[in-house]
Amino acid sequence: MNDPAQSDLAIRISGLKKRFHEKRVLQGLDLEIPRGMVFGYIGPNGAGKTTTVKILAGLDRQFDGEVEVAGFDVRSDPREVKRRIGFVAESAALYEGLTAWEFLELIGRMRSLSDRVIAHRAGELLKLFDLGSRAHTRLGSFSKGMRQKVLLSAALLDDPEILFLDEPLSGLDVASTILVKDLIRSLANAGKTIFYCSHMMDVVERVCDRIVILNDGVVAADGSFEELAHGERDRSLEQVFSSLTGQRSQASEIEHLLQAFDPDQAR
Amino acid sequence: MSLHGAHAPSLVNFLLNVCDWFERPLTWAGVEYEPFRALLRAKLVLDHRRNQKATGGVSLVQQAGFGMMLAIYLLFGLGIGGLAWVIRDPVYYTALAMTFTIGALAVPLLLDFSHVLVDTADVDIVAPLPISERSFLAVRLVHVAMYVGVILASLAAGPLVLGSLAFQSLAFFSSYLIAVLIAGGSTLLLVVLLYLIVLHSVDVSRFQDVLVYFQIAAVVVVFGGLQVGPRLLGRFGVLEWLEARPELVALYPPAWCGGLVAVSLGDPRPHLWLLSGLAVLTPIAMLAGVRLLTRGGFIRHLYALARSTPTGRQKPRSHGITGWLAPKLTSSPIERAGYDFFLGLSSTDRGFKMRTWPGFVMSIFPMAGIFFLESSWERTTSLLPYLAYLPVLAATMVAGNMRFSDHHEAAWSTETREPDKASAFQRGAMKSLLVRFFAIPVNLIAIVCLALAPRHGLDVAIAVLASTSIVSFLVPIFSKDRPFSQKFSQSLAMSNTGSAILLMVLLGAAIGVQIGTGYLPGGKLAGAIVFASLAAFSVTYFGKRDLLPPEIARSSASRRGRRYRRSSR
Repeated sequence: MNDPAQSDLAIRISGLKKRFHEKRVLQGLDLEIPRGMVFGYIGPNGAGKTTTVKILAGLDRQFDGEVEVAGFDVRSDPREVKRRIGFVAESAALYEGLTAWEFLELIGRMRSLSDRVIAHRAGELLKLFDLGSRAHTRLGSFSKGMRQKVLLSAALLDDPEILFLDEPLSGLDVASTILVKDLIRSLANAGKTIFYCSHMMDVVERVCDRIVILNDGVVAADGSFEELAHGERDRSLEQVFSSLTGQRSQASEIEHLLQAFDPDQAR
Repeated sequence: MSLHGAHAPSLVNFLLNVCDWFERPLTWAGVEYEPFRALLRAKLVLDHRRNQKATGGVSLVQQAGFGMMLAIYLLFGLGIGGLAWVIRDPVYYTALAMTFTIGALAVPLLLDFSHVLVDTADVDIVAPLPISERSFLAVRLVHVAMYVGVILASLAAGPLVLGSLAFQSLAFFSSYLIAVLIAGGSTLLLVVLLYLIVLHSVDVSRFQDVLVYFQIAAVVVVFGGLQVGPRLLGRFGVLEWLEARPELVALYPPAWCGGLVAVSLGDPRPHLWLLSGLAVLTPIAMLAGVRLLTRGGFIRHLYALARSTPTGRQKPRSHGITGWLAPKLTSSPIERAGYDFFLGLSSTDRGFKMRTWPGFVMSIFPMAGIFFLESSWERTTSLLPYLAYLPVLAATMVAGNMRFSDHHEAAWSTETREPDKASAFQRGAMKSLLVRFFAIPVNLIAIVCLALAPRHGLDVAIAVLASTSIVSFLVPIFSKDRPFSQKFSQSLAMSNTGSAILLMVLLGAAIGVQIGTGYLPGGKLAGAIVFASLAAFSVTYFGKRDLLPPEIARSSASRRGRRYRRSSR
């Protein structure tokens, strides 16, 4: 019998459907993502991106279809999946009464890491994210960007095979954004798979090997940036995205709105 | 500094060391001990720091809050212990003591610790980690059980010592100790089972609503049952009927522990062996039930609960007379915003409902029950002191919600960047609260009850509690140098906290006076005035220092800051 952990595919999704009451969020999604790839997953609000990530991370097991992560079925082996992944949610909770160090220590222990490994990795990660001097400050006093860095550190602590990032750059300053982009590339070079959800098109365009554009729960486009842009050099991912998802320029509506706020017209 | 190092609070280390004794049974039950211990430690440290955060240090009152509760339980336990010289049958004595123990334990479990069991706040942290659902549930259970253990110890101390002396038997001590552990464990498991059943059988989006009504019903049953139950039994001759059929006592769970104690004292009656067996088997059966129900995925249910949001169009809610009064009572859009905010909150917020309705329902329930059972208006009016407890409950409700209002107002003013209008928002919120719950009329009713009511020690104690509430409400109102809205808010908060802290002292004093004189010297009203004066002094004395709620302390600090800035210009 094949060892699921040795599968060539990091993620395999087949016929994934999900609905919330009457609303169909995912309508038969099929995806195969090989190991060692930075995979960009973009789409407008409500397209089903976060829902997909939660299913892949084993957080939501109420769906139709088949989903395998790291060779394990997320429905029947969610703990095996969780052992092999790191997950950064867009707005995840933290224990605000703990310090950054204590939080990483807790996550490390919950992942059954040894004290020595936790101390070494937590120290290195906090130093990398420029939080070394705030390691013993409680998380309640951290800014949004600093919290995001702690969440990234927690996700990387167990050296995961697959990293799910849902808007990981949210709240980060310019230096940290550059750092995370470099980190993503380095992790991919080291054989890790990155599943990257974002609205930041320029970052997706530059970082990802393959991009899927999701619209209304179905795949609207799938390929590398060059494939999506059909070889047109001066075409940006933002333009590709707009044309595929039916997003149009709203300049006239904005003009109309500004006129409504015009003090002269208000009198 | 490490969470696991020498800097962890000593109480946390002590509790974890106690927990380590149970490593084997926990591992046997399928709990992964290391992750379990790490999460439990984090939660205990967070509890400790949450107390610190509220006032910038663990204050006397915060220590006294939990300590005072334990002292009250200890006092009640001593009272129950003393009954061992009156009730000489160990079965009935233990059944009575266990009824009290289970009731006293069920209330904090249902009201104060339910959020620990079904809290969805940290599911986002735990759900992506490879920890088993059983280990996660075990953390929550043990976390609650630690508090339960302390409460149980203070409840059991009296009956253990006094009961052993009264029955002149060490066997009583050991068997009563086992009975307390069984009753406490069973109560905890029963509460958990009920929550799990609700989690499994109800759509998660409705879970919070169902839980609130379930909790309210449970409180009513516990309190109302204690009031109405004995009268119901007496009216229909149930006790005599039961005396002729002793085996039927098996239908009453607290009596199972009575059987256990009686058997250990050498009582050979066969039906007592049945009771003992039930006492031992019940927690085992409940544990099996919990294991069975958690197979469905405790975290998954909690995660779904955390994610559940009402979908579809929401019907506009009708607020009846309170909504109708809104334009008449509010003078600006900001006030109206505060008014509408609380009106909406009273319909939708779980915490708001829990701070409000059980108190009202459980006070009126015994009154109505006794009226219909005994068909006697005179007997019913003799219970008016129970109604006098209403202002305490009303104050608890209003104070709790005003604290919430303070937080909300702060957030509101930060969001709108109009802190100068925050007091108008607060004013609107308070008007809404007052109209919604008629807090002041309830206090007036309590004064009438006070004049009519007290006949014996307990009545006096309850009436005094009401007067404490009223006096502590009035004291800050007459203080100078602060806006009315802040004085009002402080009054409500002190009315609540002051009453709670003085409960034990006043109850003890009232019972002492009753025992010593039969009636209060100088008549009931004079006695109440004496106690009210004592309450006024105590609340004023303590209130200025420790009872000041942190949010008021904060606003006081910012007021001083503003004054300083003005004077330094």
